[in-house]
Amino acid sequence: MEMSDLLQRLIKAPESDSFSTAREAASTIIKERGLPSRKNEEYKYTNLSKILERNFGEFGGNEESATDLSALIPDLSDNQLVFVNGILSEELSSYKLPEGITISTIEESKELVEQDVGAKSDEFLLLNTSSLNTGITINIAKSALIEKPIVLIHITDSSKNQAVAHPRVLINGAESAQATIAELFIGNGDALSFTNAVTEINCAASSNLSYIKIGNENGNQLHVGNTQVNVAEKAIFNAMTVNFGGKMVRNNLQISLNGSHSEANLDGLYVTDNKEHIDNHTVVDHKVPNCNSNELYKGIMNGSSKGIFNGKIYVRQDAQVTNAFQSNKNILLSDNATINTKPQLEIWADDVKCSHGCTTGKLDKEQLFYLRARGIGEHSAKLMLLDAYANEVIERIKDENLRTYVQEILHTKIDE
Amino acid sequence: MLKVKNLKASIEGKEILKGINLEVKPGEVHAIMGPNGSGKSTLSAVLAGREEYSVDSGTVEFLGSDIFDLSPEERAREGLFLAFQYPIEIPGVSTTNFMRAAVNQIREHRGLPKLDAVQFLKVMKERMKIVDIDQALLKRSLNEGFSGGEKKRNEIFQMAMLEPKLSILDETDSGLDIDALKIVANGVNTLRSADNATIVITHYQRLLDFIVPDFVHVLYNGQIVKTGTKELAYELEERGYDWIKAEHANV
Ligand SMILES: Nc1ncnc2c1ncn2[C@@H]1O[C@H](COP(=O)(O)OP(=O)(O)OP(=O)(O)O)[C@@H](O)[C@H]1O
Ligand SMILES: [Mg+2]
Repeated sequence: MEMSDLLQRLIKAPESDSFSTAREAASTIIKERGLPSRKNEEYKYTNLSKILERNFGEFGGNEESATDLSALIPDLSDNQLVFVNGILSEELSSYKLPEGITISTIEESKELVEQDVGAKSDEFLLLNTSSLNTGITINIAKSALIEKPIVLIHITDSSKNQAVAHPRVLINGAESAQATIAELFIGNGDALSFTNAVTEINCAASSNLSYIKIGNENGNQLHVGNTQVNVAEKAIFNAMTVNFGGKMVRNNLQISLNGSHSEANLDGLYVTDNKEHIDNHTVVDHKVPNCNSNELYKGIMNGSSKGIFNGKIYVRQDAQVTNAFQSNKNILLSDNATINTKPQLEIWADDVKCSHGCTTGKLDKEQLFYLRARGIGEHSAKLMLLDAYANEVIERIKDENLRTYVQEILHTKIDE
Repeated sequence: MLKVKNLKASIEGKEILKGINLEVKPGEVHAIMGPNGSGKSTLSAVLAGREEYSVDSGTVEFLGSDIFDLSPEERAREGLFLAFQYPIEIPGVSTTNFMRAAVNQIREHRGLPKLDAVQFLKVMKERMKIVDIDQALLKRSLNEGFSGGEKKRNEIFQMAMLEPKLSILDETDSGLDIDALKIVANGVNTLRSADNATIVITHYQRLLDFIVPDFVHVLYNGQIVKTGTKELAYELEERGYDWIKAEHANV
């Protein structure tokens, strides 16, 4: 099949005209470039276009769900917006928005959408824009302090047919705003599906935003997520990316520290099994002086699953007095699981404290023996150690409901 | 309670235990002394079930059954306890949670109902007193950042929680200050009964003033080369091991 045919199928027919400029510009670039192949350095290990080409030849478009989706939706917050195949479902959503939060369609922010289209933009982001006809914007007002998290649940439903979804979310935290936003990605159905999400987050000066992405997709789901974050001065941005599966998953998390005295914390956990493939690419771009970034990604890998961690840190020439730390740790539970980890530090400034480290190993035998020597069975000893290991990341989720939810998925996943 | 017959064990092809014979009866305290590297910790590890060691010959009976048929956790549940010479640090697991899992799995094995959080805490507080250990310490990650003495005290606390039948204390006295030594020894003595037994591995006669052994064995080059009463410990303290080494130069 020709690449252009594939793209034609993946790009959905537009219904609204607000984005025609962005859409056309993105389509032109992506049609010229095509989806990234293995020759593309950025997607060397995650060759999605091959799977897409092989499987989406007969793709016929999304149809209505065969099953009741409400059963899939966990109760995590008072504010839950549910998207089915990228489209907000009023029926499944439930929210009583607190003061300080407004939600609108993304059309009001079409300039921002247009700005994302460029010769160097990520191919999947361009693909998302090419299909764009709807999306939402969440605005958090100046100085608003939002206690409960806003939860976006994305269900990609392939119960009747193969499905493609291009969710698009824009989050604007105004000056001194504080809030937690979570995005949960799940699936329904046995046919192959492809979720191609784009989330943009703007953190205004002195804001404090936490963003939690939970991927709990099934073995028929392909997923690409582009999360782009801009952080202004004195703002704190916390990102947490947890992944519990999917056929092939790629998370691009890109954070620009644009204002001085800002801070970014990036935590990640991936727990994989069978033939799952999870690829986390992160970029922290220190553009200005006096900023800090801290990154910790941990993996637990079983079966013949494959993990990729690629963490880039840029410290630009102006970004003096930068602290940037990165660490990637992995436990391989099986001899067939593999992890490919690559830190990439590019530093142009000279007053910089920067470090990175990665470790890959098996469960610690001495620790396991110590627990067993006290009467704890081998299986529960393993669970105890894995739980403690993963908790270093998970315990940073401040909201108790979300944290418990993630812990429960973790327990089912590692208890297999 | 424990019958070790002609036990030989090796690691990475190197023979460490070269025919150990040892019998421990209920109510007894045995001390094992011996130069560094003679195989004392290896013996305790083999008894506790470390899989890295290969048992090449010999038998070990624990409470009437072949110990090598049991996994490490089954041995512990049957009542074997090893206080580690070097207790392991486990980040992210608190001593409290760890002990609750251990106590309940052992109780399950013994056909007793599990302790709920309140009952467990009550037992824990009681046993904490025996070794004078602080609750704050038990809430922290297991042994992580504990001082040498705190780690040893935590081992004896665990022993108090698990109520073993046979305890092997591998150099529990090293790293303890004189007061802590008395506390730990006192803990061991409090837990002593006619039904349980203790093997104390130590380099110093001093501990044996507090925990008085019925027998003192000298382990040298993978064998028990001498057995006596507590007077033997004084003799070793005075004369060192050269005379023993000389007697067994041909071993
Ligand atoms: N993995 C291993 N490979 C090779 N030799 C080993 C290994 N583990 C232990 N040994 C050796 O086995 C011997 C006995 O060690 P062990 O720890 O049992 O001695 P010990 O009597 O407890 O000494 P100490 O008084 O110093 O605690 C030592 O010579 C040690 O180096
Ligand atoms: Mg030793």
